[in-house]
Amino acid sequence: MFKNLFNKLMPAVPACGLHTTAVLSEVRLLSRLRVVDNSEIGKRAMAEGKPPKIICVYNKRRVGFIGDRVMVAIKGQKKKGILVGLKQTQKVKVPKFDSNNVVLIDDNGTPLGTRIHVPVPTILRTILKERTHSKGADYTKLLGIATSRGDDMVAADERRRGAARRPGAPAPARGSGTRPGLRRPPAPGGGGTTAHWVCPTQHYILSTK
Amino acid sequence: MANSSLKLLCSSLNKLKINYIMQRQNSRYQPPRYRPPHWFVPKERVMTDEMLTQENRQFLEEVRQDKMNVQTALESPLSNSEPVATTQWDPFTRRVGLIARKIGNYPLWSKDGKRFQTTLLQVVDNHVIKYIPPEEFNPMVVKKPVWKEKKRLGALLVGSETIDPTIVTKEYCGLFDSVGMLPKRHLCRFMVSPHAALPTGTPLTATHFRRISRCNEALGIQRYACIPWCHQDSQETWQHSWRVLRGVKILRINTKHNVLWVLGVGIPGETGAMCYMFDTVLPLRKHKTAPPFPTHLPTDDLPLEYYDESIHPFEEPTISFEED
Amino acid sequence: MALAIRRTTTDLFTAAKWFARRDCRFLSSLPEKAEETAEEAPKRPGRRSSSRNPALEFRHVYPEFLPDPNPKWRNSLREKLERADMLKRRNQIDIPEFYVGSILAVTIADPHAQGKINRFVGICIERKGCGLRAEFILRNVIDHQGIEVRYELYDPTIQRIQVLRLEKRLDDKLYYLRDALPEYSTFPVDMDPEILPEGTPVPLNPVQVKLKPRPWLERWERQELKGVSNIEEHLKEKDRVRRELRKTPWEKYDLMKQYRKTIPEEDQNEIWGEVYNQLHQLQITRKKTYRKRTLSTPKPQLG
Repeated sequence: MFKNLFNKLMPAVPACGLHTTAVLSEVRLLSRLRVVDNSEIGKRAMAEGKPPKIICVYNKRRVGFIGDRVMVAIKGQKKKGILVGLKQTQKVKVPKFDSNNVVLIDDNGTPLGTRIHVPVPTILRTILKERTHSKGADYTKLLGIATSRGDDMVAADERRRGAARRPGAPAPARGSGTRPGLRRPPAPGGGGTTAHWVCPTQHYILSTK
Repeated sequence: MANSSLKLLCSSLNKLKINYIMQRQNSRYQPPRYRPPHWFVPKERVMTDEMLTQENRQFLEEVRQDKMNVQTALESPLSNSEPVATTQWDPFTRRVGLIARKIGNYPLWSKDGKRFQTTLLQVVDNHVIKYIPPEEFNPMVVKKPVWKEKKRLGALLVGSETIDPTIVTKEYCGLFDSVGMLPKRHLCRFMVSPHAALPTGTPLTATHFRRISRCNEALGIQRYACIPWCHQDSQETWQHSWRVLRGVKILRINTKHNVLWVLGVGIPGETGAMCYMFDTVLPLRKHKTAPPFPTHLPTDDLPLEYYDESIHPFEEPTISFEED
Repeated sequence: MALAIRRTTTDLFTAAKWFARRDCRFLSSLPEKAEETAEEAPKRPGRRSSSRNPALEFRHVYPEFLPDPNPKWRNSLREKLERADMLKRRNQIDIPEFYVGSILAVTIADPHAQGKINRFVGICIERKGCGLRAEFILRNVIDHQGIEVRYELYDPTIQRIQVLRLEKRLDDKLYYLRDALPEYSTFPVDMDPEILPEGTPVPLNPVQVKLKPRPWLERWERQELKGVSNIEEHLKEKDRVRRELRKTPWEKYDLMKQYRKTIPEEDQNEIWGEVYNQLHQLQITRKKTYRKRTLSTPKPQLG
């Protein structure tokens, strides 16, 4: 009795010769990402079911974190992008998303699309500001096309409480060097216009609103 | 039946390749290469079951209590002597350190909203036991042989955590009796400049490191078992290794319980381990202005908590950031 | 965590007999429900309720006051200081009672955001940590994107924690919502707080969530989840067989394991004895402000 139990619990030859860590959900070389802006190339790639794959992470560690620039291969072309949302467990107060999101940009930091239809973490602002000064390309332009960030919840709250008390004026443009003043386009009711596409990592279809 | 199952256990464990672990540990194992200092005496004694009557036990208990009360009631001899007698502090004097016990970790937040992990160190019942002036002080192991010629620093023996005299050997108690103190669990020798010497029986508190954000060193004991499959019951056979952590920052001091909050979780030792703390010698983090010298006098009207400027105390209202 | 209470030795013997008859009820973190006490009443009339300290109920409401049961890290002075700090923070901001499954709105002072304030609404899927390290995770689906944010309860940058819907769920951790259909995690950002009448027990939401087809993030079939309805239809024969092999039915009889995971009743009595008065005071002030707010602020007229 003892022998059997013992052999089961501590086999002489271990069943699996590997040590594994917990799931890290890191974004690195050849990871597939979800494009969250409305650029043509992005929309077509996601619609076909061939999401972009990372071919380079511009980082010492070669592991992508929020705000990192990456080079992706999308529809046979090489494009640069910025990671705006990760599945990886983040620090406290930094949001964690259910998919790894990327916004396509060109070499100057100008986004290829005109709208980002998912929320974007506010910590991007600080990260991109730092990056902008060092490299010479302006990465903060993509914040201008983001429709909702965390603080947009506050805007929704204020609207609910009554626009009469406080005029729903957009935030004053803050002049700060090279960065243009941020326009705050009015947040759409439910979500931006999204095309039908199937994301291979999540088995559900987004519908237009 | 027991034998056969033991055999089975041993054979299965052999298959798990225990030898590999033993070799690895052995290669790191270095026998301690020191001679104990001249004031070192064996501490623990073999406890026999003494046949004491109930009255005798009670009497011993009373005597112990009386002695404890006398010791705690004893005021710091420093408070009696005039402060003029002590010399001024200069950046090269070394003053005494503290023996603290690590009691745990918990987070503190800064005024920017950043979180730091801090370690709590409690200074338990530190008293100065003896001062050995530089002429008499003759340590066995000296790193720099030049030092022996130019003997400039004396040694101050500090003890922490009073314990029951019945548990320890007579010789160990004798160390303390000669100066009129109850025995302590831990002893440490601190190198001090002669004019930083303190009289015996001076209690040392956490406010010794009163100037917040002045860093200090921590020298801690890290214990690990050397050979896992030996029959080891007492902690004495555990290997000790000293780890020195330099330039550690103090964030908060509680004067009621004598607790220091120190930045970082890398303080050597597990919870309940002792560590010795001194003023730091790192040039950028040394004291620039005079700290409480030779030590801080315990007065009644101290604020309960001292905080570093960067730390947000929990009593203050919620942090909010202003718009640019 | 330390939600159940350690039994005294006499109870341990009776518990051993008790196991044979029913499931391990005291592993459950739910307070004794009405039908349970009615069942137990003929067996042990009134013994439990009289011997227990009423402050012990706080172990469900404020679980972070109980320290980590690992004896290596326990130290009474440090725990006292930590509790004192927690109470000081609670004096500054009202940290309400909530459970896993409640919907919260958290406003924080964010140095990165425009306007420096950031508000997030979501369902609490997890609550972990002891003392000042207590954390919780809120989940919501915004613009068809699932978002989870981790917050620390005692973070001084948190300006307000508002409970929009106070309820409990069938499970302790709701990680399966990540693999469930998005409608179960979607909550409107401008939700109004739902007010429960005073004195009502915390409602239990018996909703059974439908999962998306596989692949899943974890093997939900191997965890005994009560809040999921359609696991079986997504399983293959191989999964069912493996699940049977992996089952550990002896674990519920492992009293020492349970003992090591909890704080004994004597220690808990001490802890709650220290903090009960202040917490009770805070509860009373919270109720008063709640009442004032509901009476004075009229609902804004729409349109």
